[in-house]
Amino acid sequence: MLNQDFVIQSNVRRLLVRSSIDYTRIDIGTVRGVVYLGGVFRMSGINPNRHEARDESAMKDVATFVKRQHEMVARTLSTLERRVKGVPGVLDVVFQFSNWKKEKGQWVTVKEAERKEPGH
Amino acid sequence: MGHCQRGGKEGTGTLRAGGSILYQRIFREIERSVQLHPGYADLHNQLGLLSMKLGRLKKAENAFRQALRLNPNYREATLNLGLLYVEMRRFKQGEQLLLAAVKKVPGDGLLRHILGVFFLQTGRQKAAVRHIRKAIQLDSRYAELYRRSGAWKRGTVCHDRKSEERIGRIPLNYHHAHLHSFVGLYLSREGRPRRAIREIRKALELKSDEWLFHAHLGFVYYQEGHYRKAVQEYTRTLKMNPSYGMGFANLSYVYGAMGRTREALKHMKRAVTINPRFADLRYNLALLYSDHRRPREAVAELKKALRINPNYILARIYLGVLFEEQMRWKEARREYEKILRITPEDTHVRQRLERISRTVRI
Repeated sequence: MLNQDFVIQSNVRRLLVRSSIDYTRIDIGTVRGVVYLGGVFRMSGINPNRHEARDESAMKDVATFVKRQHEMVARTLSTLERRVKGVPGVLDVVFQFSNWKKEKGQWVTVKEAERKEPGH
Repeated sequence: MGHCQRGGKEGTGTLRAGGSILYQRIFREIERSVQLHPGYADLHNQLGLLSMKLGRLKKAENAFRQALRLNPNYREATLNLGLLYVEMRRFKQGEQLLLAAVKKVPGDGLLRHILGVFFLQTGRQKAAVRHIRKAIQLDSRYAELYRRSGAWKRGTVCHDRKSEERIGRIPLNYHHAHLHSFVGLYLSREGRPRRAIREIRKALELKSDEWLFHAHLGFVYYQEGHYRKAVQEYTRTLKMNPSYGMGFANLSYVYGAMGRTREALKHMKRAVTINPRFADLRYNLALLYSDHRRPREAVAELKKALRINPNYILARIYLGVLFEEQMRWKEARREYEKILRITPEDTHVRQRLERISRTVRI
């Protein structure tokens, strides 16, 4: 029987293109059933730099807005992980995004993770 | 304007103001995207198309002009602006723009066809026939188009007024078709495939010979898992444009999703031949070779991919794994070490490297 890395790759690619994820900035790789997803993780229509606050109350609104956006991205990442693992033949998924990472089972931005680490 | 004609289902004639809620919503979203990314010529062109559809002709003109300021060689924006000038009955500007474009790219059949119809509409038969002849020389499909209109007989354009009028009736649906196709892709990204397919089909009704629309339709079918239909559409695309390398790659992905790796390999090879400098395609070709137990060819492709992009981590990981499988430990170790120099925090690669060190003394 043939190995199926390309079949997995094509199915994972399809998962990405039919989601709300900006797949143009994601690198996909498959090595013996292990899927690697790298690059920058962004969702279509969500711009991480699109918030400005002019006064204190606006800052509160911005903080809530950013928090909600982060929650949505984290939820999307969890769903993506589940779906990729559900592709036939996939043994594991390795995420190597430059802006998001999984820490202790939670999705956090790389900046957040660095802030939490001692020495940063 | 002499015998200006309006043709086809939508024609180049008056665009209905207002438009549907859908177009208005997409218009607002594209407008927001333009504010965020003012340097993207594509977005300005899309905004122009939507503005035309909504009857905001001045706004459309500004958007196309901005697209051309950002990319002076942007063919679609040039054609759209030219047709908009016809729409606005600003024939002089339209003529200047289209003639300048044809001077830049004299071998563009569509541009010649549009100029031909444009001159017919403005009553300049001689110039019109010259461009129509050139369009036919460049692309034989125009001969068929004119023949169907009844104005092309025995290998030439008929010189009587009636025939010329018939050619003038050939609809210039270029921008309407592109709008539907773009809206279709937009809807597919929003997860509304049925509506997306409807829009792209509208585009194809207006311009069935546009390979790009078939490619878009193929993409939506692939997205939705209608693989057979996707194969059909990509096959049509590649018949119309055999130099469309990404079309071969996309067809290969469809076959991949179907599990038909033999066909996938054949088409990915074509994609790589057409785009030899595209490292990602070489990586995918390497996957296919490896799946077909042809590790030597897989290694060769990965090496080529890494010559194009030495920081292509995924290609390097795969190369390392292939070396490991062939027990070429030294080479595997070298690849993993290179990866760790680029991304020292890569725990998976570190583990692989440690495993090699434990297993073998190099």
